Amino acid sequence: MARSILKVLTDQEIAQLNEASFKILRELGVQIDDEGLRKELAERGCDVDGDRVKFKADLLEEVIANVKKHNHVTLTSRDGIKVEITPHSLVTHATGGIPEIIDLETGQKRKPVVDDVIATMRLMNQLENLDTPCSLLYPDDVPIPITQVKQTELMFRYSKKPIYGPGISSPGEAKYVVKLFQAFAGGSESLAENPIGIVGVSPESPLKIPQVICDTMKHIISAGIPTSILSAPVGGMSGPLSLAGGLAQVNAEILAFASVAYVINPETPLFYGSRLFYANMKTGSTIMGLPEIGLVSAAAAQLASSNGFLSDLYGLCCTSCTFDGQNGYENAINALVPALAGANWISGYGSMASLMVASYEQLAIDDEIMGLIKRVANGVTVNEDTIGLDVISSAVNGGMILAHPHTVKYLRCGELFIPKLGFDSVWSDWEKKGQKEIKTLARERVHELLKQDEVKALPEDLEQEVNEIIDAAAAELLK
Amino acid sequence: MTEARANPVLKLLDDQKIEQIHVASLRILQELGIKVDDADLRQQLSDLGCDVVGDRVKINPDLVGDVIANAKKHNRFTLTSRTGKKVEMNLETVVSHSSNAIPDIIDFETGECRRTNQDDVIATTRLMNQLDELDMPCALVYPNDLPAETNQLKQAELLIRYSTKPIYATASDPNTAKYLVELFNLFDGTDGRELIGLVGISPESPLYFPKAITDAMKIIISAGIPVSMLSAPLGGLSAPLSIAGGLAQVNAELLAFAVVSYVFNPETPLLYGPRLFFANMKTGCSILGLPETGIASAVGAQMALYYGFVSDLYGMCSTSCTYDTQSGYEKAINCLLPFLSGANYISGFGGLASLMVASYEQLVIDNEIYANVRKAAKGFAVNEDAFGFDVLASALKGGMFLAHPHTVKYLRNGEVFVPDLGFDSVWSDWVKKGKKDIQAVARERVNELLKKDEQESEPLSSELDKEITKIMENAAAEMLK
Amino acid sequence: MELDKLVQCVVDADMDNVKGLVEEGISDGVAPSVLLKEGLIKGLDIVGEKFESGDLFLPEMLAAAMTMKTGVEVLKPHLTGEETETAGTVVIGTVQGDVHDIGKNLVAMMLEGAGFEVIDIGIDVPAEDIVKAVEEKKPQILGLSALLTTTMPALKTTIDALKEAGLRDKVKVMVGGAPVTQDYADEIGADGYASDAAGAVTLARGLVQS
Repeated sequence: MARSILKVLTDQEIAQLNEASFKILRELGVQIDDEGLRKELAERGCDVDGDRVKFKADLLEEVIANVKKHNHVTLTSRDGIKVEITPHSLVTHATGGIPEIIDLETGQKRKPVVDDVIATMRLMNQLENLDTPCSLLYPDDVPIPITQVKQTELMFRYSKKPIYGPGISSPGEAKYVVKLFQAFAGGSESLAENPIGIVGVSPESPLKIPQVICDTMKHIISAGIPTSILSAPVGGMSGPLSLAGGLAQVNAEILAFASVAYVINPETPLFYGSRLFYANMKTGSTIMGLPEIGLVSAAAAQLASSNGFLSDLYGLCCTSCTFDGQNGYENAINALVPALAGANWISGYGSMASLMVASYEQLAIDDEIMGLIKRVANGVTVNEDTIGLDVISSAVNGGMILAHPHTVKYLRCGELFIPKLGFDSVWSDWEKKGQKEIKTLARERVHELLKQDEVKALPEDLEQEVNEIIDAAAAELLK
Repeated sequence: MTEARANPVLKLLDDQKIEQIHVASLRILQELGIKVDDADLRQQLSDLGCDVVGDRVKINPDLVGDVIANAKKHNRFTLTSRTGKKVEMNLETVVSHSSNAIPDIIDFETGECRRTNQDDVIATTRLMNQLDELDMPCALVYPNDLPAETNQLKQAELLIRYSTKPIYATASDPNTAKYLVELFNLFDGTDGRELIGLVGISPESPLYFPKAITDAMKIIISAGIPVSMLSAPLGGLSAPLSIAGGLAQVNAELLAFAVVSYVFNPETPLLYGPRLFFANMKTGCSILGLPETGIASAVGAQMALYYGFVSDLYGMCSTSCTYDTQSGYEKAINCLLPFLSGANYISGFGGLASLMVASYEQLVIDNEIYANVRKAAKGFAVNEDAFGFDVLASALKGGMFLAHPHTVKYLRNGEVFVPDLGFDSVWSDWVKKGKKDIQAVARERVNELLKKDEQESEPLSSELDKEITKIMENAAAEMLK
Repeated sequence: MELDKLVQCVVDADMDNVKGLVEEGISDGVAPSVLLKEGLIKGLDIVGEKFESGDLFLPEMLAAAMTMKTGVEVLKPHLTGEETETAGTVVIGTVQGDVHDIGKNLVAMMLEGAGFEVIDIGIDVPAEDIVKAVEEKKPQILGLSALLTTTMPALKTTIDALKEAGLRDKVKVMVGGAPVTQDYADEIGADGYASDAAGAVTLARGLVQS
């Protein structure tokens, strides 16, 4: 079935937003710090005004036409697991780089270490609704200048699934990240045509691509690593507060980034990574559980699709700092709304407290929430057989619907969601089973799943190659 | 909150599939028909062109067509509470109501689950007075300490006495219906109709109208009190397990209900209440937190719009028995789906454990969930001003977004949701404030709101009090032998 | 006649073939008690295990039980009194005011599958009729069901009526239905409560033994 069954905006409103973004790019332009790129853009018809590049519709149309040619991406992991991302798919990824974690044993919040990155990667291998893991955590025991390289290495080592790589923001690390991608892909294969994962790169809001990002892009995009363009302004702080205004700006930032990427390497697949979010406007702290996150993500899914992009959007996210009802409704609303609007790739597994705290239990709970959401996105099948007039007729004549083969058939083909983690019985049963809340069930599940996950050693030559890359990165970056 | 809504935006099914369900329902009505216990009613339906075979009435599609066309003319009405609060019901509004007659409650003091009583009906009704997202209360809990025969009537009496909002009552027998009409008539103004509420009535599934139900219908519908037609089969047990099949049956039952109502009084407004739900198919126990509850409600809302009925749907349902993440996601998903699909009337405030356990805290939490859902379903303005080109231009020249009048304007207009109960800050602040989960915050709020309602409550006029008492005494004399 | 076929027939809930297979067994000279124990019952035991472990849904369990029941009907005339001995007798119905029979039917089917003789007295049964049924049928167990909060009080009325008739200690009463809880069951003086049909079978077995 068609995935975009929810229309937050009408087609006309989408056209208006695109027009507004074109106007921003045409009249205000984007600050691009790299002189060489500015020159190349000028050659393609852009007006360069100091460090600002003003884009014309012709180039943007050309970029959009090219994007449309690359909107079917298949990621294949080293273990052979494939994840297809197409205009009709709904796949998921984890949040990346969370600075703190709730300890699985003590329940206390602390800084994560490499072992946590490994354990969460292994846990994510076992979560059936999670398609592509990210390095959920920012390991505190790795020197900062090589963290992105180390995260990439750990993801490739421990993930059985294709990876959603870390956000890359330094060219020094980008170089080694590319080497890791090439090593794990088996060397010569084209990363654009047969990718094993992707990375995210962020421009700066409003409307700026700094030199380090330009240089990072040159490494990543030239190598053909599929890239999610993560434009993440805070409404009212680095973008307009009005939702439409924020979206117009995000859309402009993503189109500008895509144009720069086009100049560098038009073959690299790109994802529309709107990350527009909001703050508690009394304190200025950004909070991720607001329903506007889901709403603008849904609109962004529509915008992405209108411009031929695959979308990569916020999904599960919450302000709540504990496993309460708020945690549930915030995560559910923010993931369901974009999922219904046709988002292709949604984020958020494993996070709490506005993406500032990670949790093992939350990873397991999020897998359950995503199970419900994927069920909803599958919709309802209407045909002669599902309508089942015979069943109703037999019931009216005294037959038992429960024992009818039609009932068994539809149960077996997944007409009803079957909770894997959530409680699925009645109060008396809940009491009998020890009055457990879902967090307690999730803890038990985490232990089980971690026991199940087997770690295989890398082939010797790959092990050696990876170690050499990491050593070289350390030697260069940790001076 | 009652609010005018934009066009519904979620379509789980396209128009052609909706039409296909409609056609299937017509076939069900024509070929299988409904079982009607009342011989007189069967005769009346026969006079309207239905085929009567034994106790089954086979309804012809033309009659259904006429009934639908007629119902469309009566899909707009206003309810007015005892204290004058108005709730508009029509295809453009979304109105919320609570769950009904839950048999157990989590005691507010001890936290233990126990049987509910009359005092709980009163306290939860007063709490609901103070929930700004809740438009209409039902008697949330079942007063177990009162006799079964007059129980529904007592629920309505307590609502009338304690609610400052229009009320949602239920009737499943003619005696209850008779005295319910008398209670409602106390508020029937002289210049035009003043309706204090509406009444929900349920036939049996599959396709069965017992005499007690059609007798109750006759009384309520003849009196012109708006009726919510509630068809509530359990998929796989009293309807096909496939969602489309369940909906075809529900739709047939609701259309049949409308046909029967048409016989009694074609002027009475009817609400379309598809309440298809499902069970854990390993135990047979019905569980309401499944996403299929929301999916079926969403399509139900589409069906209602297709006919032009005001819809009355399940909303915040949960299987969870505690205030955990599961209660949150189940309620959010099941409320959001019908809301986005154009539902007009959404239920579910206050229930946990598949509507078998009520909770004071949950009422307050549901108020917050509903506010979030309402905001997520509201959409936003897309126009030149909202694009904020000037703000962006000024920011690029070194201006601040934060201090710009555009930001303040949109903030004041409610562009970004401001949580009323939910936590809205960062971890360190959460720790500083005592690591409270939303249940703890809700507990505090319950106390505050109950105190507030006590201060605001106005006693009934002694005249009204006397009249209500008299009706209830008569009812008791007749119904409690 | 291969017994495995009969076992598999119950496992597959193959309603169309069970009758023929049992008849074939009888005409092939297989002892009726063997057809029962090593055919039909063995098949249902396998299904029961799969159901317990969560591999099967309720409708699949039920369909297998119905298949076995059909087979037993064919077999019955050929079995001796001892061989047809049941696990116990259960009178079952919904209380006055309640017309919802799905739960009750389900429990009845599951009890039959477990070897009980079930006497179904239907829906909306007034207390005095239930008392009469207990008097006449002398069951070990009386199963009462109420789906609605409004009809739940009739469970108590019925138990009180049994007391008045002096029959309360002659029969074990088990109650069920969505709004019923263990506490409520205790409060109205029932002997047992189960939250689902499988639980009701376990409960009934326990009550018969006690």
